[in-house]
Amino acid sequence: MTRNDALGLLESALDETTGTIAETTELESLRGWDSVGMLSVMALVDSNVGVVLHPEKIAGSVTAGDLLDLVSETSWNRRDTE
Amino acid sequence: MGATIRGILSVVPSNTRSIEDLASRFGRADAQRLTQMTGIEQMRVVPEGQTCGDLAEQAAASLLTKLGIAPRDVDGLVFVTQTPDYIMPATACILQDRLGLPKQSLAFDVNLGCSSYPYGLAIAYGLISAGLARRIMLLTGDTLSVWVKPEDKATFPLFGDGVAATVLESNPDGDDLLGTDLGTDGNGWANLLVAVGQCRYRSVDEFSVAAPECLRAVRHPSHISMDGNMIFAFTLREVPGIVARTLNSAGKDMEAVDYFFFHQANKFILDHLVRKIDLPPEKCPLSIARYGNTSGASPAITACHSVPNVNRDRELTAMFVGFGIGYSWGGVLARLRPGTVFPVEEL
Repeated sequence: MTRNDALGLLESALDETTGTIAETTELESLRGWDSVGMLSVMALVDSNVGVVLHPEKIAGSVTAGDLLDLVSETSWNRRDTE
Repeated sequence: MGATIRGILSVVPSNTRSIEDLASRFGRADAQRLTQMTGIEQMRVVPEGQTCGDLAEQAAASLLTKLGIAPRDVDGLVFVTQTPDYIMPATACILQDRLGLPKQSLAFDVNLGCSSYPYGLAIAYGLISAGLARRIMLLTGDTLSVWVKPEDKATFPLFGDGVAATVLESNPDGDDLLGTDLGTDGNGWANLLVAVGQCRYRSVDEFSVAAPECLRAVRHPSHISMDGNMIFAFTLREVPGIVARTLNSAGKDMEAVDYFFFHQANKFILDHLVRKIDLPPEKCPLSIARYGNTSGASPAITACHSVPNVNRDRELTAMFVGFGIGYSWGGVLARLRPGTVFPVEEL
């Protein structure tokens, strides 16, 4: 999955219009970015990547790009420990 | 000595809280969003003056009547609850008296929440198997509505009240508990709790001064505090393993199970879990839309809500799965003989 694909999934999880989220978009600026939105993102990542993101790390992500980096990092860490 | 499940019956308060109540408190848009996430259309909450012990007494008395069992023929009562009627004594002792059970009955409370149903089944089974009781009234459930902060969007729209009664009795000819998995990860204790009111912090003032770092985010220490995202992460990590280990301990596969009765955490979580574990949705009935998250009683309430008609003439193999506060979890695979699951009643 490309990072653009991932942004599309993020838009879907947060109920945002297609094309509105870029890597530089600040998550706090999105209407759907609240505790329910974070829950949706955790489910999305679990379904598509097979990793469970730590909620505190999600909360520490400032931009959409940070969130994608977190997914990549968590995914690689899991592979390293398998 | 084996143990048979003779009957399961659940009681909820007749008092209802609806989406309209949420809309008047939080506004219609937020109420609809919360309802969409939780799947809860209404819930039952105790009115002032009604307690968890009252629901338990009604459930126990009604189940004994339906089974044609006299109270004098019950020699054990286990009440798994986090909302006892008093800090002390154990509500189980009060219920022994109110139900008219013999003085030779063992009776005690166990402090567990979301995992209470599988734990309760395992405890009752263990007592019977050890020869310490012949027939046990197991009561599980909570009235968490009493402990929610009305302004808290995370808990007020979520928790309903209810109690399940289950009678187990010794049976030398076979076991109805086919497999079990129990577990704990106390590292997550701070993510779902009521911090104030017991011995660690007896007042909010005391809590404000002395609370450790892990409780600094708790905004309403006298009420239920829940970090929903941490609970969700725990659920994603642990629940698939509970199902797999419970099946493994019974030497069964998923196809052998007629129904999976999960703790009714919220609909979003349950839908995700069902997909993740790859279970047929029709084998995973829900009761959350009608009763809310009914804590530890919820797997049994879901059974009583969903399958009395199916079970009337047919034996079922069912898994009860509880997970949450503690963190604590459990799974039990059980044989439900025909006519053992009764519909939900109201008090």
